[in-house]
Amino acid sequence: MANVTSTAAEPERLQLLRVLGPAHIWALGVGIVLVGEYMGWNFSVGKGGMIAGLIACWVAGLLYTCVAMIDSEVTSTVAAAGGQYAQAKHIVGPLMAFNVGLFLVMAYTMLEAANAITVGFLLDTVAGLQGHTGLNQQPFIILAIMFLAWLNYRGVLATLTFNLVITAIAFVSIITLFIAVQFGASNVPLDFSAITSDPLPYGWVGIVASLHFGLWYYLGIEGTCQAAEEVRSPARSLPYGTMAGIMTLLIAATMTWYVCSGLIPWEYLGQAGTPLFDAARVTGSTSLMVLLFVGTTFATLASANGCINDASRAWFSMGRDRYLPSWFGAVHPIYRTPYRAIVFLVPIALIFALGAPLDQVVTFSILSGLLGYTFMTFNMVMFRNKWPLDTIKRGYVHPFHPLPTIVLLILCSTAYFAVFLGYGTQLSAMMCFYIVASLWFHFRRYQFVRRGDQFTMPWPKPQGY
Amino acid sequence: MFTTLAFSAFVAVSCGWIGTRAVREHRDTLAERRGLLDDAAPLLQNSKITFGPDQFPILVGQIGDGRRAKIELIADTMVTRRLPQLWLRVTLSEARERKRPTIGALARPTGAEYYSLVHDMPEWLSPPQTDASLLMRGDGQATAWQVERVSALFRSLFADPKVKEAVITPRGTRIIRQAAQGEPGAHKVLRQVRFPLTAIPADMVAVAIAEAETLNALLIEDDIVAPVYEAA
Repeated sequence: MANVTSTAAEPERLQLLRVLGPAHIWALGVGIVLVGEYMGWNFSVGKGGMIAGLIACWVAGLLYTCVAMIDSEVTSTVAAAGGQYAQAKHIVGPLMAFNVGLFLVMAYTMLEAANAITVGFLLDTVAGLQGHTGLNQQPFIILAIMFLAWLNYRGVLATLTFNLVITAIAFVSIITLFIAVQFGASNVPLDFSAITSDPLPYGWVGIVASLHFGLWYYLGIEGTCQAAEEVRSPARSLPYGTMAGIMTLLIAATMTWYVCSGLIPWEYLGQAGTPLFDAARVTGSTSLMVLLFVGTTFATLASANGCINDASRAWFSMGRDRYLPSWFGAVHPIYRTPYRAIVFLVPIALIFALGAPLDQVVTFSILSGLLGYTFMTFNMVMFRNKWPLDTIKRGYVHPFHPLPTIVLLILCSTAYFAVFLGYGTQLSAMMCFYIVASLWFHFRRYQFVRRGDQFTMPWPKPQGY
Repeated sequence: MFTTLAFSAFVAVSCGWIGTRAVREHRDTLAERRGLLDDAAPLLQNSKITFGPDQFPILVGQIGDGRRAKIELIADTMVTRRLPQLWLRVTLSEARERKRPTIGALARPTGAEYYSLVHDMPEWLSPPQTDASLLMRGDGQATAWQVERVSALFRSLFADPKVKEAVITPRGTRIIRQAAQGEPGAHKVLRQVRFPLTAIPADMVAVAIAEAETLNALLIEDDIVAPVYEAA
């Protein structure tokens, strides 16, 4: 007979604890990207003025629509989870996969650093409001990164209710600010006179220059549609889910732009560290300030937590695939987390968070994301050429091919030019980094890669091979 | 002054509430895990449940013919852009080592399956055609006849998308099945691992045990049949 020593046995148990509706999950999916509304986007206003900031936001929405269409087709066909990293392994090859893995790690780690900088800046501002000027931000930046890294190292659990509270506050804060300002809760009225008096302070090139910060509104939205690998959800939910998220963010971004541009002079807004919180300060309402303080804190910390998780998993996967030393592919014996990858990435995040200004860190993150989107363009072309529509079954076929690919490539090229205009040195430095890393992989590391394990899809031989 | 005090009190209370709630919920979740295999315990004789360092239960006992069975749960959060998976791992151990090769297959491999035996096998084998992508490997000792037989079984076994890994070794057999998938909301927002169940159904465990037994029976008669087949 069974000799059960469990202490948690109960006579009756509910098999399914909670059921979430599609709208619920859609809202939650957007939550992780919401931090883009709280900081970073406003540098686009600094680059080209109020109008340019809004155009950048909408054009970036078009870019992400193309990303969603292309990504959905490949994701619904490459059954192996892992996103663009797995796609690169199957469609292009190990060198591309190595680079895509690095893009992911860098984009997430830089975003984590940007979030920590924002937390430090926010605390400094609040301390200043309380009469304690000159707060040293660095201990708080270090504390935020170390604490979240520790949570990830331990694999600490929280409830869905807890998650919902955090996301809801971040969402509700923006909407409350918008409604409150509309109903006259602000001491300062909305002022859009700069649109007519100074519409494009740097001319049309200002619109181009502001484009790359427009990406910040949506960066990572494609990651919210996750593959339920083993029993997959209907393939069409992938593009629709992502596009619904983009539309939501488009509305939220326009609201954010409307409130912030109306309350804060564009010259200041273009350099602000926490634009939404600053807008709340301008209203003169203490309750709005507290709400936006909490919203900014929750959004940035939740985002940083997700970044540590995702960056360490990507680094871990590269270690397991031997693209990096396999030492990084270790799992903690107790907590079941990629602890070496987590610990290794902490000092990198700290170096950038403590040593670089927010706009540059944001640029590094955007650049890595942009490189990933550029990869998607020729990945899509190779995918369709190697395995035409009638050769393998696809869960979703995106329409108007190759139009979305061409549009995406044009927008990516424009964004590179935008980065070059404002951050040419950073662009060159990052490109050099990836070139040197690629050379190291090609000449040194590739010999350790298990080539037979790279392609596992049951597809026919690609055309032309 | 009043604003400063009120704000400080608000921050202190909020942090305290969040901290207390986080610690309590973490403990509750760990406690909840401990009962996951209770329903499956009657499937085995002399069964005993112990707990791993992550508080997931490990059920050990014997099946009808006296062989040792070990049933474990593994929470897998290692793949980006995939929901967390809870794997049910069933291992049947032989009383003595059998004369048979090591062969295994892994469905939808990403390279991040740290719990898999297949990744550590030295020789790559051509997998059977299935709807899912398969990685099939072995120790290089299998004859063509043995590979063919195992491939035929794998083809039917992996038709079920919930089967993740199947392995035959001289010391026993192992099957890994999907037990649950993480809640999307909890994972997407805060990368949390929450599985929407409080007990692994006994039926699921019984199916996994039966599959492990089928794997075991596959190459048992090798000593007699294989030479005749290969001579032919």
